This record gives sequence, structure tokens and C-alpha cells, in this order.
Amino acid sequence: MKAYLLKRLLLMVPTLLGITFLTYAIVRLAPGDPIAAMIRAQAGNIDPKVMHADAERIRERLGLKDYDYLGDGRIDGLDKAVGVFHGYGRWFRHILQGDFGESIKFRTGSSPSSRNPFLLFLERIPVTLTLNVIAEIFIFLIAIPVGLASARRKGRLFDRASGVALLVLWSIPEILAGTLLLGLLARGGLGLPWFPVAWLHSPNSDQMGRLAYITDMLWHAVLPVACMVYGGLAYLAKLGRASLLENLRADYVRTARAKGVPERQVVYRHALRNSLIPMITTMVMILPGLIGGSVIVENIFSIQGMGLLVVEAARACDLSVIMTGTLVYGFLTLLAVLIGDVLYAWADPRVRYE
Amino acid sequence: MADCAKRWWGRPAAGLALLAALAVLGGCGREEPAGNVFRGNMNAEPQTLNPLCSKDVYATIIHDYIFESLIERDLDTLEWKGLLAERWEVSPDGKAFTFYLNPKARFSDGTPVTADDVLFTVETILNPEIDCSNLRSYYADLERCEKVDDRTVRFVWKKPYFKSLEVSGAFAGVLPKHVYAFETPKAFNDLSDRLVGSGRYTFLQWKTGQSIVLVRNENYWGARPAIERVEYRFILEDQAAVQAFLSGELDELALAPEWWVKLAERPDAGTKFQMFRYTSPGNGYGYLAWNNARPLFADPRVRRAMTHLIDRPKILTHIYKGIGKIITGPFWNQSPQYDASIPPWPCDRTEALRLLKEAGWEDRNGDGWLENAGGERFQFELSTVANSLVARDVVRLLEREFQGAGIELVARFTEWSVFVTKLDNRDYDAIMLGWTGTIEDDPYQIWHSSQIADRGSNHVGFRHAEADRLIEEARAELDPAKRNALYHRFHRILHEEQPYTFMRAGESLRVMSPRIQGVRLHKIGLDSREWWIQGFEPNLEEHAAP
Repeated sequence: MKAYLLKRLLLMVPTLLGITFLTYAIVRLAPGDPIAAMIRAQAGNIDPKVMHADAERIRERLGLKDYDYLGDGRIDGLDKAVGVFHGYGRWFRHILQGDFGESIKFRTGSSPSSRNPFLLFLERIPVTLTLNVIAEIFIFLIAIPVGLASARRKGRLFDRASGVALLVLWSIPEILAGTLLLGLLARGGLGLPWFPVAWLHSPNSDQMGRLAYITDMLWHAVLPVACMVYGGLAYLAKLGRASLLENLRADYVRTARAKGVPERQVVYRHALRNSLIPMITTMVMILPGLIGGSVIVENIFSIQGMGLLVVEAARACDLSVIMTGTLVYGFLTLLAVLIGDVLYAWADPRVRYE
Repeated sequence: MADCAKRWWGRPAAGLALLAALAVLGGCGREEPAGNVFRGNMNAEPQTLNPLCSKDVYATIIHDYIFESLIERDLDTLEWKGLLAERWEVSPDGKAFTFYLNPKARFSDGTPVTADDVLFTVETILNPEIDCSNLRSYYADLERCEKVDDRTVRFVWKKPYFKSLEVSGAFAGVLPKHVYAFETPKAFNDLSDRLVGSGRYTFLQWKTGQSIVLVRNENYWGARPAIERVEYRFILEDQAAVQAFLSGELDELALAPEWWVKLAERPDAGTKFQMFRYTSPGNGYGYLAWNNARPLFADPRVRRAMTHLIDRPKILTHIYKGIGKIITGPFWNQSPQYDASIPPWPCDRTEALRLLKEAGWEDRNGDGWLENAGGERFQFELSTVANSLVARDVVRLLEREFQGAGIELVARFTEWSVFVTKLDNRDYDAIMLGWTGTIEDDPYQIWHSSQIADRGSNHVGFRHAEADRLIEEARAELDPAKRNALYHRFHRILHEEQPYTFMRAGESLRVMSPRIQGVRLHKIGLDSREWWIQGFEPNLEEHAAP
């Protein structure tokens, strides 16, 4: 097992290299000039000479000198390709030295003069992870009983009704669900004014005691988490149902029943345990998806998480942030895959990695 | 089985009870932030609050509370009046401006505002290593800025220019040298939340993702404002912001037209909140630019035909909910620069087709599309920035209108960073975009033919000898009446030539809680200095009620 783990961890390195190189190449070859976009964001009347001098200086500072920002064909295809390899090589060297570059667009909140992309992610990871872990717990807690109940009542009213309901849930886009929740359950809306409209904390949260602080956060998290739960919940419940049904038809269940084991024991002790195996791995595997998918939720509820950061960075062609994001996401995803595989081996004695 | 089912249906109920409990608990823990506080909203977070390098409107809002310039405009008469400078003199040739600082003026840390601080501010702006090219470009013709004595500074310009007084006195807040003096330009460029000025408020805190907080400058050298604390919160989503406003968590909100209309329809509009709708030069205008350098749009008759094909009143009513005004030229429509006697070209397909036929475009083979003599179809790309739903609606509507006239419009939506390169490379047939305006505008950067080359702002490639001459003459004309006559002539040329189809000047739409008292509408908008919070009436002797 140890050897296997080591092998898998080592295999992550070339995979990450591949992911980051592809991302780098795509961003570099995409049209658009991040520096000009930033300078021009507001400037109406601006002397072009002064502006271009400014742009050149910022480019120099950020190591984007050879960036084909004009996209006007002055740099031909071969030079472009060479530029990409050069640029990637430089980026990689800097990463090895712990230098993540400098963001064009963002500054970190804790040390406002810093534009270090890694610190940017470090600030936002706790927010995103908190939301996602709470969401995962709820998904698990609801999906398993629902899946179990509908499998046991296969073809009956509950199974059909829950099947339709889950399908509906699964099909609702997050942006619609978020807007509805906001309008119906948040303050100032049309329905019950129970929950806040934005953020994970109240404006005065830093003066609260620990218990009040946590209650305040949970209270703020209800709507965003609800938004993140329902899709995954529908998926996992369907999966649980299918998996349990498969196990209930298996030979060992028939044997157990034939032996006269009570039905409850057959279901809970034998079939359910076995059917949890694919659910565990799925749970781990949907985590990276959830983190990426939380961008809509983050936007609706004004939460400063990783999703928004990455999307905003992509829109601004903020290369160093995009690359750091790729590294962070890539690593999290690979880690989740690995954990999933390990859990699989742990849960299922038939699976052995050597 | 039956008891099992009961358990099942019991669980959601229990869950709902838990949610309600959390709501109540959370509700108990929430602050009731009434107090002498003004709470506004920003729907995006500023990138930096650096006093010179910031580029967004959000930073400008904060800076207005903290920094002060030498002079400012009266909000009603639009005339200049002293702020940090108690008076100023203009040399007879109109090239030198001498400002006399108010001896009472102090920065919030108590140090007096001196000529050295003004000099430091100008020198920092002029430093080519400082990231403020948009500001610096206005100082290109500054010959020198000199200290006459501790309280007197003089700006000398290379040539007479009607905006020199404004640039000298009102373009930048005066920075305290002892706070901002820097070793390396990078140290200054990286400053993000060090904000010390002579203004009415001081900077307290910037909580990323949540708010920026300012508190009243208790050492303020002028009349102290009534409101003690100013908070700007970051609620990114429109609906969430409107709900926060309606539930009393925000005192003020700027709205998009569709939200304005929705709120105006509420029965409690006017009692639950105050509504203010006004035009200010900062609203700017939207336009369609027809790339004059492309053969397709080189002929003014074709460009005018395009304007005739666009039903601007319909767009204004249906897409912008009647908010805004159809305009005919680039100046702020309330300023004397704007010639209000020019009527907008009407939407008139017959006239458009006639002009197009004159220019060689007609349906020659009966397929419903216009062709030129060479048999080419009339087809063009319209590019716009992808992030606005409203822009999409307008483009879709135009698509249909042009199709009805036999012209194929191909819509292209791109990201801003890509869009900017299209502008720089003049790589477009037509684009839809906007400019923000100023009270007194100099059309030189956008319309003079010298600004076509080297990626200047005249991206549409407008070239007109008489327009060039008028723009140059007006720059040096210091008599406003004569200058505005020149601008009226220039405005008329643009109207005939139609390098742009001027679409619509925007309006500011703001709702305000009844907690905020003393709100008055001036010619160019609202002035927060006059406001107070209900229950915290200002001491009238002290309050700067005009």
C-alpha cells in the first residue's frame, strides 16, 4: 500500500505539469491584452503614448514582455509557440523557487499591498472549503436515507414520487435556485425574511463571542449551502438507490434471506454496507466539482471564495492567478481522486493495490 | 412499513424546524446597525484604493470623502470655487494659475496643507514610473509647477488651454508629502489602503469581500459633516442588494433601469424610500461606432442610413425602460457645449434605403439582401462586450431591424480584454460601446484626426479638416461663449457625418432610505455633505448647510 501511495503521489507531478502547461498555452494563445484592459477599464481620454509607456513598464514588471498582446499577426506562429515554451519554462522555474508571480487585478486582504496569487488562494480556500464540507455532509446525510427508502419501495408511490422530485432538483440550474431562495427566504424579499442576503458573516462579526460567531456563520451559510446541496443530493440519492437495488438482487442477499436472516438485518447490515462503497468514492470525486461549481453561489451571495477569484481572473486574463488556480485545483482534484481510490480499498476488502 | 413512512415524513419537518431555529438564533445575533452611520453599496470591490493609481469608479467614491483638491465646482452653477485654495489668479495670457492655500487647511493628522504637498502631488503624477498614465496624460502641456511661498503655488502651462484651470486645481486631491513620500516608485504603486488626506472623513478599515469603513475626521479644518461613519458594503448581485436595501441594511443604492422601474411600481415607493433620478456628465453616453476606415462605412451617406435604421426611441422605451435621453453629439446634454437645437435623425427606413441606393447599395437580384455594383452583399460585424444582458438585447433588436432592410448584421460578443485589442488594432466594422463624460469636455482625444495613429482614442478613424480646425481653435479659446459656438459647429459636423450613431445618454438612478435627511438634488446630482441621519440632527451652527 505504501509503495502504491508513493507511486500515485509521484504520478501526480507529470499530471500537474501537463495540466499547467495546457492552461498556460491556452491563456497565452488566447486573444486579448490584460494590461491594456486594466488601464482602459475606466480611462476615457488618455494620451496613447503615455498609456503605452505605462503598459510596457507593467508588462516588464510582470514578466509579460513577450506576450503577444496585440494579436495583430506581427508575431508569427512559430515565435508564438517558442514564446509559450519560454514563458512556461520561466513560470515553472519561479514556482520551484516559491515565486507565484504577481496578480494584475487582485490584492490580498490581509496584507493589502501584496499581490501574491498564492496568498490570494490561501485567503479564500477556508471559505470555499467550509461551504463545501457543510454541503457534502448534508448531501450524504440526506441522499443515503432517500436512496435507501426508494430502493426498498421500488416501483411504489414513494419511489416514483421521489424519483421525479430528484430529477426535477437535478435539473434546476443553480442560478435559478439561488435567486428563488434569495427572493423567498432572505430579508427584503417576497417571502419569509429569515436569512441574510450576502456574505458569510455579519458586518459586526469580529466583535462576537465564539458561539455567536459560529451561529452567525451557520445562519449565513444556510442559503448558499442549500444551493450547493440539492444538485449533488439528487445525483447521490439516485446512485444510492441503484447501488442498493443491485446489491439486494445479489446472491449473498438471497443466501442471507434463505438462511432466515430478518429483513432489516439483510438490508442494513449486508446490502446497505456494500452499496455504500461506490457512494463513498463518488462523494470524494464530486468535491472538486462542487468547489468549481460554487462560483455561481459565491456571486449570488457575495461570498469571496475561490470560484469567483478564478472566474474573475480568467476574464481579466490575469495569468499568474489563473496558473496558481490551476495548480490549486489540479492538486485538489488529483488528491480527491487518490483519496477516493484509497477509501475504495479500505471499504472493499476485495480491492487490493500492490 | 407504516411507521417507517411516518419517520420519513417527520424528518423534513424536523429539518425545517431546525432552519427556523437557526434563523431566529441568527436573527438574534444580528446587529441592528441604526446609528449615525451611512451605509452605501458597491457592486464590485475596488481593485486598489491607491490615491493616484486606482482606475475604478469605486475608488473615486472613497477618495471623494478623504482627499480634497485646490478648487471644486459649485454643484448648481457649475462655476469654480475654492476648496483647499481660498482664492486663485489667472495671468492675462491664460497660461499661469496661482493658487493661495487656505491657512486653516489641515490634513487629518493635524499637519497644515502647504505648497510642498501640492508640488509633491504633481511631481508624483508626472513621475513616469507611477501607474497613473490616465491622470498624467492631462499634464502633457504643463511647463512647470512651482512654489511661490509656503502657501502659494503656481502652475505654468506651455499654451493657453481652456481646461488648464481645471487640470491645475481640480484633477487630483492634494496628498500629504510626509505620509506618501516614497523611496521607490513601486513602493508608491503598491500602496493600497494607506489613505490620509485633508477631507471630511478618515479611512478606518477595508474588509475584503465585505466593506470599506470611513469615520468622520474630527480634526476637519472646515465645517464638519453631520454623519459620523460611512460604510460601503460589497453586495455583488443586484437582487441581493435591492433586498438588503428594502430590509434596511443599506441606506442608499444606485439602480439599473429595470430595478428602478420595479421599485417605482411599489405602493410604498416614496414613503419607504426616496427616489432620485437625474442626469450627470458621469453617466456618459452609449454609441455605435462605424469604422470610417473600412470601405463599407467610409461613405457618410451609408453611416447616416445606419442611424436612420436604428429605432432609438423603441430601444429607449423597451430596453432601457424609458430611462435616459436620445442624444446627437458627444457633449453632456445639459451643458452649454451641447447644441440642443439639433434634432436626432428619425428612424426612417425609406430615407435609409434612399441614401443606401445613392451610395450604391440596393437589392439587385431580388433576394431580399442589398448588394453593391460588384455583387457583394451588405454584411458587417457588430462587436460588443459580452458582460451585459442589456447590450445583448440591443444587438438582437438591431439584428432584426437591419435584416428587415436587407443588411446582415453579424453579432460578436467578446471579453473586455479582447475588445480592447480590437479597438487598438482598429479591427472592427462596427462596435457598441460607451464613453463617460465631463462637465466641460475637450473632444480632442476622441475626435481629432491626430488621435487615429498610434492606437489613440479616435478608433473610429474620423477625419474631417474643419472638425480638426474647430477642435484646435476651441482649445485655445478662453471665452466660453465663443468656444461653445465653435463646439456647436463641431457638433453639427458630427451630426451630418455620423461617425458614431449616438444612442443614449444615461441617467443616475438612486434610492435612499428615509433615514437619510436633507437630500437635495443639484444640477449635477447629490451632495453627501448636506445629509444627516434621522434622529441625529446636525448642530445647525456647525453643519455646512448651504
